[in-house]
Amino acid sequence: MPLWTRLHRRSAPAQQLGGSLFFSWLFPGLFPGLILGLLSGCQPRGAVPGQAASAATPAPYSATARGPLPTGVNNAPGALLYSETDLRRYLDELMANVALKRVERLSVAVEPGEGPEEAHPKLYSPRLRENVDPIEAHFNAGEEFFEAELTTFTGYGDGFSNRYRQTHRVHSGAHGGPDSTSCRSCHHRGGDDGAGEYNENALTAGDGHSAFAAQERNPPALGGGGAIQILAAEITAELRKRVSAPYKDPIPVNLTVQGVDFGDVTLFPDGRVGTDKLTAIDPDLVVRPFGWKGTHSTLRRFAEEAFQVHHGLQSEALALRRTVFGTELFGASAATRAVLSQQGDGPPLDPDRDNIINELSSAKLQGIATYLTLLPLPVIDPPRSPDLLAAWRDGGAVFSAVGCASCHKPMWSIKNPVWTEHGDDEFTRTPLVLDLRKDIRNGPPLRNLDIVVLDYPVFIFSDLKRHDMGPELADKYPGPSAKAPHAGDRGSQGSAEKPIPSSYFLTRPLWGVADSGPYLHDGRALTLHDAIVQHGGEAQKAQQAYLALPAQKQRALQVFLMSLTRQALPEVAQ
Amino acid sequence: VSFAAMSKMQAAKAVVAAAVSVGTLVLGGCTRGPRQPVQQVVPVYDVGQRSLQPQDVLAEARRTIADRYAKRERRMREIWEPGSLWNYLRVEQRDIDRRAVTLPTLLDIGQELFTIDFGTAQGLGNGLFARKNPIAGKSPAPNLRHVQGHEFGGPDATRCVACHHTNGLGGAGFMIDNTFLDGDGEHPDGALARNPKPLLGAAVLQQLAAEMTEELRAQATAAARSLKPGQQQPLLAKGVSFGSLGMSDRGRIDFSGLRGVGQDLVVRPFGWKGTTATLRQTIVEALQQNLGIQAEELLQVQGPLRAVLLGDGPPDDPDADGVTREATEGMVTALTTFIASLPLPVEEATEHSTYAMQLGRGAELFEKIGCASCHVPELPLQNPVVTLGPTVSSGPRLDLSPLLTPAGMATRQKTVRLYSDLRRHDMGKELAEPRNYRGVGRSYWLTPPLWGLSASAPYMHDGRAGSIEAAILMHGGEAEPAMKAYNALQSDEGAPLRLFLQSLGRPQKLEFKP
Repeated sequence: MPLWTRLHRRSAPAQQLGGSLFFSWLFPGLFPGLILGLLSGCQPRGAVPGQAASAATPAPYSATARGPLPTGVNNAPGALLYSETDLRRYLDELMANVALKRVERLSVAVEPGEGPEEAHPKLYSPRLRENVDPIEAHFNAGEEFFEAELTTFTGYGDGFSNRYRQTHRVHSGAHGGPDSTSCRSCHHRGGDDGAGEYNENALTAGDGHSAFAAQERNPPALGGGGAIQILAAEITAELRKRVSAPYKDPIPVNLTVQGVDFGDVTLFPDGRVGTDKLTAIDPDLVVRPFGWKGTHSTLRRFAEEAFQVHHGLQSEALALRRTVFGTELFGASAATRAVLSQQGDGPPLDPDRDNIINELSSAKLQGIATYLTLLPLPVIDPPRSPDLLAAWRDGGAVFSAVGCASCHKPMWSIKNPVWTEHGDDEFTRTPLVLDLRKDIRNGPPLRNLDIVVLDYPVFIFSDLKRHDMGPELADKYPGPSAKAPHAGDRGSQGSAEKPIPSSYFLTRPLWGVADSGPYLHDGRALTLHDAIVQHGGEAQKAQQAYLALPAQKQRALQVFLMSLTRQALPEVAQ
Repeated sequence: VSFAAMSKMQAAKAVVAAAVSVGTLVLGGCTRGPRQPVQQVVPVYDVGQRSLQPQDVLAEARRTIADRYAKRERRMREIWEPGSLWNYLRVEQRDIDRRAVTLPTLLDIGQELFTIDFGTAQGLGNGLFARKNPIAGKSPAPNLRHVQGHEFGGPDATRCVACHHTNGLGGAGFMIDNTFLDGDGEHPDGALARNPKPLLGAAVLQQLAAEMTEELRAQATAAARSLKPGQQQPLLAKGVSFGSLGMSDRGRIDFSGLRGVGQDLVVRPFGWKGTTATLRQTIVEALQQNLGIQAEELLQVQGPLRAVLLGDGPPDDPDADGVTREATEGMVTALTTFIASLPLPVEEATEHSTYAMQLGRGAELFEKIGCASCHVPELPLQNPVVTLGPTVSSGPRLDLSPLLTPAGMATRQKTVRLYSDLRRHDMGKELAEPRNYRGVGRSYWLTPPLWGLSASAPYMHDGRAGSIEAAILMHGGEAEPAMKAYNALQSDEGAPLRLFLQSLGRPQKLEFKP
């Protein structure tokens, strides 16, 4: 029996009540394994008698107080956010990193071209000299690349316009801008690799000129992407398994995984899969958790598109494949094919005509993908003051009660938290095996302190499905979608490609939501309250239930959402 | 947009520069009541420490974490008890003046105001669309947009730190953070792109510029009395030449010999084109143009400009979003005080022996090839006391000496190492814009102070240069000889110079990025 089935049998009462395991955590009596977690010291500090602060003056964790650091919820309720030892190790690494970067900056000044933008896991760089571990090397190269100011010497921009650096704030279709000169320039809100501000919205799919003709996209926070990537792959594998069995007659099959109904398909004896009724995921049954509309299944391909549209750095692997297969690359997502078709009309290896080839090598992508996969997971960090803590508990219950949790599914289980990053060419032939249990950087690894459940719970607050969000939130244009598969991947089924309707969006994972305002795909909601109220379509019922609540309950819900945050580890701005 | 309204805006633009300088005079000229006592500035970062010291990192981390939890809880409480935080932030100038608000509290408020998101409840944006006002464009309140509409502005951001964040609070912005000034509200290409400038040392710049203005005006007054028709007199402030004043044959003062400063002889160190003289005025304008937050003191603008700059709403709410007193005088004071208390940039030393030897040589090269003729390394500062309130008699009056006192020294430095002459120069065709801005010529730019250079990439007014070297090579016009001199150097000959420029950084500390 698959582990997730066991899990659900155990939590049946919780499911009836709140539709998710999460509910059982708020009412711990329902789930024995989690009680142990709670008993073993998961009580937030503010709740401990004697240390509780008065309601009037919120007294947070005090610098002078001894004892363990603040507790909260990491990937499992009751897990320490980080220990004293974790903090010391983190600070040691941080200081070493700061010192290295300082030397690096000076060495770049002396010899331009030896800089971070040359970051390449196989190449010499001051930082890499100290590292031999391939994962460490790839992570560090990815980090350097993420933080580097990209210049025309390494392929920034394209050769289509004579403007200096060819920067266009408004994108031209899927070709993009470029509109920014580094990854971090749009991912910094709330901390490194965070979200973007309203003024950093990408103006995508536009005409290159008018800000109003474009579709706005607010940069999402990146932490925890590795876990989501693994989870989506596990769901996809499960869905594929469901449709791979041979049948004699056309047979309807329901695709429910871990309590989430991904829709119904029909299996035909000749191997075709009828996916007409499928709206939550693409017809190829691949769960694509990245992008506001759910357009990419891996961080690698997601980053590849971002480099194209935001920086004009073209993927070498894509350019090569295009010369062989054309723009209809088999197995590629619709978003990747859109990028392929808009790379430009230049020579095969330099489609954007800027006279730079090999702008984004497979090795660099390997570094970036490793980096993104191993970023720390957001946490649930409850408030300390007793009155806020009570509100927080109340808010968690409201979250399930009004129906938020039916799409923003609080918890998923990952069976095997290991991601294998495959390269695109022979230079990156050796895959990197990234284990979230030990390889996560800059924060605690994925843990499961629960002695009953063997899987790894991740509190992402999303069902990873697409939903109709109503006409108010709808985009100007529909999004790309993939073709339906043949059962068991035996070639293309040839069904008509249908685009993602303009009002459909992926359920945004809410972990880390406290640090990622402004909210919704275009940052139109400036507060959590606005964000909730602007939900429409399938979320209308929950939105109305929220509006019907007394103000205290509404606020309690927002207090709860404010606890979905990054772990409290300080950084050094540089 | 009606044609009449358009031409009105065009006309208005020409007068804006004048309006701004009038504002400055009002700020500087009005006295009421006794002056405030001088207080020592409390630096936001530990300036004695200058940069991150590894030995007490754990203690520092604990302090920072405690502070993070306190601030986070405060924001949660604002949700739970609406107003609990914003009422604290809406500080009144009269409470600052009677010192009911202490300097540390004022700093805390200023820092929070700098990092918190303004919302529609606080007056973000405008509701002019409902009034069918063309300056609002096509969108209803709060009318967030990425391109500003003429001199009225956006709003194009929700908080200060959204654009001033690289390398720490009050830093510069990335290229994506560029603001598009004086546009049509829709097309970035037609607007003037401006990369957010770093804010460190802003109060020192203001004070330097004020002293230079005073010097220039004294010389002009003397010249008006003593010059005979046909005579000329050079104008110098802190050793920087601002051209000359002449007397025409008809006995009128001839301003045509002026260089790098307007006819009012006010040295304006803020804005890429040197268009604002005080930090406070800069903040008031940014609040309006970037956030749509209308400061109380901005509402004093009257006359035909008012509707164009502020909107045509009710007298106490010109941007018609239903929120009055969006930023009180006290809030602007708090923001000003916070920015004034940011540490000055530093010149990093390096333990790395290879590099240490080259640093000194780089500084020499900087002088030798001519960079230092505009990027003047240091200017003397006579009086380190600045008044940051809305009038000269209001508080706080801050003594900036602690910012200027190096670690281990008892007294402050007499000079400020800012690497700028605080005047405008013709930078040539390549850097010129399609049109003048606030009366400043297309190709004229203020010499940006180079202190903190390595922490403020990308470079040039629109962030077009990704590296220091690229920035050097883009210099034209008056700077062309120096650029050519650099270009003539071999790569290894130029290395010390680049290294020296790279050493111009800012203090670092452990922090939670906002």
